[in-house]
Order: sequence, then structure tokens, then C-alpha cells
Amino acid sequence: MIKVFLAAESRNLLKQLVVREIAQRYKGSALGLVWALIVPLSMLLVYTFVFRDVLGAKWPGAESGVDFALNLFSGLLVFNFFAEVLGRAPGLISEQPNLVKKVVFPLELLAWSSVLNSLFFAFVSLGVLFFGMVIFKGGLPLSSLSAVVALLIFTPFLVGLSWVIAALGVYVQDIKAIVSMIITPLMFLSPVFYPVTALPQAVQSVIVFNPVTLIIQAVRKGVLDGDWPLDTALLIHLCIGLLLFVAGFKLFRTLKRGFADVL
Amino acid sequence: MSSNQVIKASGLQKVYHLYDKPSDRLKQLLYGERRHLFRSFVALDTVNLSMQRGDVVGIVGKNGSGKSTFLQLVCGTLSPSSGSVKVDGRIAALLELGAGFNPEFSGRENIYLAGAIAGLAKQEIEQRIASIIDFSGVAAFIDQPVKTYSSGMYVRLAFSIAISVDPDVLIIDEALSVGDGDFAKRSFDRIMDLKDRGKTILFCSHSLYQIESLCNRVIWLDKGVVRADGPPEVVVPEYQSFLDAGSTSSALAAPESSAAEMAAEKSAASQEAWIERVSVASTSAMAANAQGELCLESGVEDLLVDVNFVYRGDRSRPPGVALAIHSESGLLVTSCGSWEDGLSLDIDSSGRAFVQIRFKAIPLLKGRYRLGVILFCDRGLFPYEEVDPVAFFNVVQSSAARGLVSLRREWKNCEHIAVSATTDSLEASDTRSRGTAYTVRVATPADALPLTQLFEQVFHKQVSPAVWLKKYQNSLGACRVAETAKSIEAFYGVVERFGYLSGERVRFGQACDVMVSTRARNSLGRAGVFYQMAREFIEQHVGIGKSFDYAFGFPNERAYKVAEKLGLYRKADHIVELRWSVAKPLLRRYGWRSIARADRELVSRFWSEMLSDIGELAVGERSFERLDERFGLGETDDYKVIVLYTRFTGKVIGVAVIKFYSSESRAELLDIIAPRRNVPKIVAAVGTYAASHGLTAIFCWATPAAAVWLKDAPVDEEIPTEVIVPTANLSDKSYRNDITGKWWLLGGDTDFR
Repeated sequence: MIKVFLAAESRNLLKQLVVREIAQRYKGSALGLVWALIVPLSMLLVYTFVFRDVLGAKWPGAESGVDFALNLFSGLLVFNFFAEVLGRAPGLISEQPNLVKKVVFPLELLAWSSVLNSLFFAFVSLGVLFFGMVIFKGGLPLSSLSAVVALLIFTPFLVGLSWVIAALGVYVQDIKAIVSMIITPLMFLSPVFYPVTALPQAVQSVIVFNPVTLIIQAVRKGVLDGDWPLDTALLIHLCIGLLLFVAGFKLFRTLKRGFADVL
Repeated sequence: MSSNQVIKASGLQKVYHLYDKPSDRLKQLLYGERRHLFRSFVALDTVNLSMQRGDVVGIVGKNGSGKSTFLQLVCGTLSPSSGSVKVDGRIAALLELGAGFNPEFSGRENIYLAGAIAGLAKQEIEQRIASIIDFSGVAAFIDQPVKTYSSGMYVRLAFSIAISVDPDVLIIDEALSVGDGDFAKRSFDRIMDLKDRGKTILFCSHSLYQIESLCNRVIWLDKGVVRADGPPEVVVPEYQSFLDAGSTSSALAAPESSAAEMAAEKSAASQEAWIERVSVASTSAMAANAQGELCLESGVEDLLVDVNFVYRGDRSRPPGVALAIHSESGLLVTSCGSWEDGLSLDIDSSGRAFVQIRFKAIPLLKGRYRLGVILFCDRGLFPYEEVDPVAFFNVVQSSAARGLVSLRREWKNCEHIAVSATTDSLEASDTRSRGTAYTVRVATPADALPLTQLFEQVFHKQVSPAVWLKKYQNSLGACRVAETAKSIEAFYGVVERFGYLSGERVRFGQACDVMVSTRARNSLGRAGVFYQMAREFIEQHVGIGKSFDYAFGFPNERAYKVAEKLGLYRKADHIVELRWSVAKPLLRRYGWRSIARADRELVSRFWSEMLSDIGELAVGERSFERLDERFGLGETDDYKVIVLYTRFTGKVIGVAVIKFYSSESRAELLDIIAPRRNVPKIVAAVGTYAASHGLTAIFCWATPAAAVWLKDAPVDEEIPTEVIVPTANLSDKSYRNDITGKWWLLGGDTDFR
């Protein structure tokens, strides 16, 4: 089935794109890929400082500062994954007129490449989280593997979403502005700085519609609580993701015909 | 699609929809056919075409006639509005060079990326990357981001990648000259190479000259419709007259290019060849007109055009000069090219050449004419530089004849038949008198001095008469010279070389130093000196019971083709170049020393082992004496003849001959004497040797049969050369065994490089 969405002859190209873009991100900087660790860690330090030490926020059910940091970090890595992909999506096609008009290029790949690129950095952050667990908690539960599964479950959703936004972004310039406008509020409306349980009951049933909620919960449950999180809710999330993936592909294929006329 | 059909367009139509804003385009996609939010423009209207493998198709048409749209549809960068176009095979498009580049990535990374976009697998890219970088000439910057490249470097790299795809279909949109002159020439040669290999080429050009010389089919598009489709000799004149009809007002302005463009063209002109000066004169000193333009009298005075140019390229392929004369209305009156008239231009040692064209008793009628001069490559296809107009001249006449030209004619009063015309050309005798008489005879020792002088003139290298005599001492009777009453003008040399074929010892005749002076080079046909010399040699000296059992040599492809066309040679084998990159190993496994007299025994032992491994193949005999003779042991530093051994055990693995090309930072492996099992070790040892002398690569010329041995050691790259190994084209009965494809030869078997 995957052949329909990612042709065999495109895979080498996709590999080239992903590997080169990852290498490109910190190319020329003295620390290189170490930045992939420094960036999330520094954000983690700042947020922990502001919320716990300045605002005096407490993580319900956890007393130590380390717990606050680990919970915050798990939320942040999932949200960053989502936010990066979302933020890039509107420009994926519209910023590459050459690839649309001048060469024969499988444009579907750009969404794949964007998601896989961010997935790589999400995995790096996950590695940091695992390392943190070992250092501060003295070990890593086996159920931590479910965090990897959760990120993979999120992937088709993000590819589908990228196709939709990228295709519409070619025609409607406003999409870019809308996306950049909603990313920051979305961070506070996701359970990054607080657990879902801290919300009022009514809000809890609404926040599950935020696509990152279930993934963040799964990562926390698997890694921090040592409990396997693979439940029906996550399965439904996967199904919705696959639906969006197929629908996004169809929409992209339809709208693709007009790209060259507009760019 | 039938197996030979490469491109098939059926009912191909492209309509551009012009939208006022992008969101209208989105709405249109969502509405479907229910509403129309656009204005239409038909760029291509129902085109039905099919192209066969090996077709070279030129597309002509005015700007906006749909040429580019058509090419883009074939490439797949545009999708048709209706109808379809199917392409069978890999396409390389030279439409938008470098469009797929990411400016942040290095040249090397972009090669991988663009290669992947073009559909190459990773291994395929790796195989080609060295030749891509080599061809592009940006090796020094290959690891810099391409955003730091000059536009020339950018385009060169992109072209090198596009052409390396080894396409079945090549699509070119006015991109025939990329980069500076030298690169443009090489890229043009590469395109010609694809043509020779029977690939399909589709290109559009405004140069009708190029179209006529390259294509076997021309398609004329006009307002999106195929107006004519057929062989160039039919379509081009039709199109030309259409253009002429439309350009009555163009007067004498340079066609399609303003003065500013001309200046730009000139500054980007070739580094390899350029026109220095052109002057126009007439035989009498008739006054120029008020504008300073030359005036001459029709049918009386001669028009003289002097062209000085500089040529820095390969001297065996001197350029040609072409002239074009246009009338005041922009009509091309006549054109001529030096190569078409059989003249090979002489270039002096400083690379300058001076040529004069004389139009006797100018047959043009009164009017003002524009003269253009073009400096072409030897094949008359690639223009190094075009200067048009280079001058204007005025023709005046005393008669009342009208038109552009006065045709040569004969009148006769006849009694019964009203008009009789003679069709014989008056100049028939003129054209025949061009040939000079050459005598072909067997070379003698007394020819040594004039031949070494000829050698210097042709190859620009010096050789002493004594060395010359020593080289040919055993085979002078087979060598031929061609001379005029005054001097020796050509030589066909043959040296004796013993060797083995199918295990039998045979006597080979190796053609060497085949040279023809520039004066005698005009005629490469059957009347020419080369044909006479080579034919005499082959007929009298090659085959069973003659002086040599077989003959061979190493002409380049061009020289070979001439001989093949004349029926003298046929292809027996060819040479490939193998390359290895080398680096100093951490631990040196192999050692070496210069060969010494005492190694005579060793050489003969290795040779007999090697010969038994060679088996049925054809190979030249190797011995200490041969090494001494060919590579001048102890006399010269050009060749390193070394004995290689394993340092650990001290065991000798073989003998190798190496030549350094320090400026290219590589060395050539010229010869090996060793059994096959030792060859990988020898390659490794020679690699270490080269690396320890600060070189980065070694290469070796070999026939495919010899390359098999060398490829026992993993080869980094194998590239074709243009060297062919021919055999004398005699009937099979003249030979004891067929030698085709059986040669085991290395670079050291050649005569000179």
C-alpha cells in the first residue's frame, strides 16, 4: 500500500532529502548535531525556571523539581515535533517554485521529508529524556518503548496534515499567517505545562481533540509512569491519522494539477 | 508502443488558464467544470507526433509558437490539458539547468540530490560522480555550497549532472552553448556523442544552420500547431522563406540581436578560439562611400575578405571559417565554409592563423550587403565566435540587370531550336586542378632527417634522426612516405612487434607516427596520400605469408573513422581507462626498487607465467630488452620501471612501468609483467608507490580483456576513451585466427601518448 503514497523510485530521493536536510540544519556550526540536544535542553531549563521557580507551579502528584522537568520535557518534545511540521507545512510547496515548474519532481515527497526530518529530532529529544530517566530515576522502564510507538503513530497524521496545508498554502497565502498565529496559543492549550488531569472535567473531554494530547499522555505514561499506554483512544487516534493521510494524499493529488499555474 | 517508438504525443493540447488571483485557481479546481473563472490561452493545439529511436528532431518556430511548451510537456514538467504524451526511457532535459539545486548544499551534495531527482540510484551516482566533477571543471569548489558559485560554475555543474544520466532521450532548449567556450565545446561534443550512439535528441534552436546540420527531421510549430514536419532540406527552406517574408522591414539591422547583445556575446566568447580581425577590401582602390563602406563594381572587381583568428585548441582539429552575405532586405544570399571547400587552415606556432577568401569578379548585383564571419569547430557545427555584421559593402554596376546575383551564362544563336542551354560548369577544370601530385614510396634511411622535421611540424615534439632510425630499423621496408617533387609530405610508419595469439608466436606490425603535413591534408579521400600509403602497406605487408601476420595501432576515434570509411581498417578492439584513487596506507605492505640488468632472468620468468595466463589472447611480447627499448632504462626519468615486492616476505610480485603526470596529481600504470594472480597486489603496490610520491590517483589504459585482469583489484571508475584498436580490413582468409576482441594491451603497448 505504501507504494501508492511513496513510489519505490522516490525512496532514494527521499533518503537524500532527509539526510541532507538534517545534516544541513547545523552545518557549519562548531557544535554540529550537539545543537539538537542543546536547543530542547535550554528550552527545558527556561520553562522549568519560569513555571516552577518564578510562578511556583507544581506538577500534581510529583514533588521534586526533576519530576516537573521530566514531565515538561516529554510534553515539549511531542509538541515541538508537531509545531515544527505544522509551521513548515504552508511553505513546503509555495517556497519551491523551481521544483514545481522547472524539474520533474515528486512533490509528495516534500511532506514526507519535512515530517521525517522532525521525527529524527523528536527521537533525539526522546533519547535525552531516556538519559534523564536513567540519571535521575536510576533506570528506564521497558514500557518506554511505547513512546517510540506513539511518535510513529503520530507520523501518518502529520504527513496527511502537511499535504493538506501545503496544497492549500499554494493557493491561499493567508494559511501561512493563520498557522503561525495559532502555534503559540496551541502550546498553552496542549498539556505541555500541566497534566490533563489538572483541568476541569468539562475541558478534559475537549482537549483530547487536540492531536498532541494523546501522544503526550502516551509518552508520559510509558516513560515516566512505567505503564503501557496503548489503549483504544490511541488506536482511534491512529485511525484518524490514517484517514487524514489518505484524504490528504487525494487532496494533494487533485490540487497539484494547478500548482504550476499559480506559482 | 512499438519498440522503436520513443515519444508518442496524441492529441496533445495545452491551454493556459489565466487567473486574476491564486484563490480563483483553487476555486476552479473545486468547482470542476461548472463555472469558468479564467481566460484561456491555447499554447499548443492538438499535436500528434511520434518519434523513433535515433531521431534527431529540431523544432523551429517563432517565439511564442509553443516550442518550449511542447518540450516541457515531453519532459513532464507541464501536464497536458488534454491528450497525452508518452516517453519510453530515461529523459535528460537541459531546459532549466540547476533548477533542482539547493543553494545551501555543497556541489557534491547537490550532485547526489539532482542525481536522485533524475532517477539515479545511489550506486549509479557514485559511479559517475568523479566524471561529473571532472567534466564540470569545478573540482576545487565541489565541497563549497553552490550559493557561492558563479553562474557559470553553477550551470556547468548542472549540465554535467544532466548529461551524465545516460539518457535515452535528450531534450535541449537553446542550451547548446553553456559556460565558456572550452566548456561549451566539450558539452557540444558530449551531445554529439549521444547522437552517435543512436539516442533520441529533441531540441529547439533559432540557429537554422545548426538545425540543418544536426537533425534528420524538423518540426515547425506556428501558433501551437504543427505547420510542417519533415526532413530539414524540405522544412528549413520553407520556414526560412516564412521568416524572410515576415522580416521585410528588418533592413540591415542585425537579425534578432541588438548591438548590446552582440557585445555581450563577444565578451562571453570562447577562450579556445576567437576572431581577431576581419578586413574587407577590393582589388582596385575604388573610393569608399560617404559612410566609409567599401564600394566595388559588379562582375569586375574581386572582393577580398581577410580573417585573422587565434586558436588554442587541439591542432589536429583546426577550426573552420564561414562567411555569410545577407542582402539589404535580410535575405541570406550565400554562405560558404572553409571545411566544406576542403581547406584545412594552417595555424602557426603561436596559435594564430590568417586566411583570405576571394570572390572573383563579384557576381552580386547592385545593392548594399551585410557580411558576417563565423569561426566554427572543425566539424562546422559548433560556433566559437560569430561576428555578424562584420562589415557592409556596396556593389555598383554599369548594366541594367536586376536582382541580387548575376549567374554565369552562355548564349548561343541556334538555327532550329529556339533556346539551348549548356549545363556543363565552366569551372569543372578549376576544381580538379586543386590536387597536387604525390608519389608514394618505401621509406629509406635517407628519409630520417626530413621525417623528423615533419614529425616536429605535426606533433610539436622533437626526435633525433638516430632514435628514429633505431625505432624503424627492422621494418623500414614496410614504412611509406609520400612526397612531392620538393619535399616529404606524409609518413606511414610501422614497427615490428613480436607477440602471441592463441599461444602461437606471431609478428605484428604496429602502425606508428602516421602523419600528414597540413599542406597535404586537404584530401582525406581515396585520392589522398593517407589512403595510398595505408593501402600499400596493408596489401603488400599484412596477412599470411607477408611481412606481418597482423597489423594494429592506436588511432583516435577520428582518425580511425576516416580509415574505416575508406575501407582500410576495421575495429578489432578498443581502449578503456581504469582509475583508482590512492592514499598512503598506515602500514606499507609493498616495497619497490628500480629495475636492474640483473633482473633479466626475473622478467623472463614473470613473462612466461603471464603468457600462460593470457592463453588464447593476443599480446605483445615482453622482455627486458623490450622494456629497455620502449622505456629507455636508465636514460630517462619519464618512465619508472620498478620491481615490486611484498615487504613482509621479501617476495617479488612483478614488474610495473609507471609514468607520472604530476600536474594532474596522478600516475599512469603503463605496463605490467606478472602472472594474473599478482595483478591486484601490483595495483595496490603501484597505488602505494604513487601515494608516497604525493599523487592521489592512478589510471591505466587497457583493452577490455586486459581490464578484466586489472579489475581483479576493485576499480573506482571505468571510463571509455576514444582510442580504437583497428586491424587491417582484409578478408578473413588472410589471417590465421580472428583477432577481434582478443587484444590484451596496456597503455605501454602504444607508441607515444
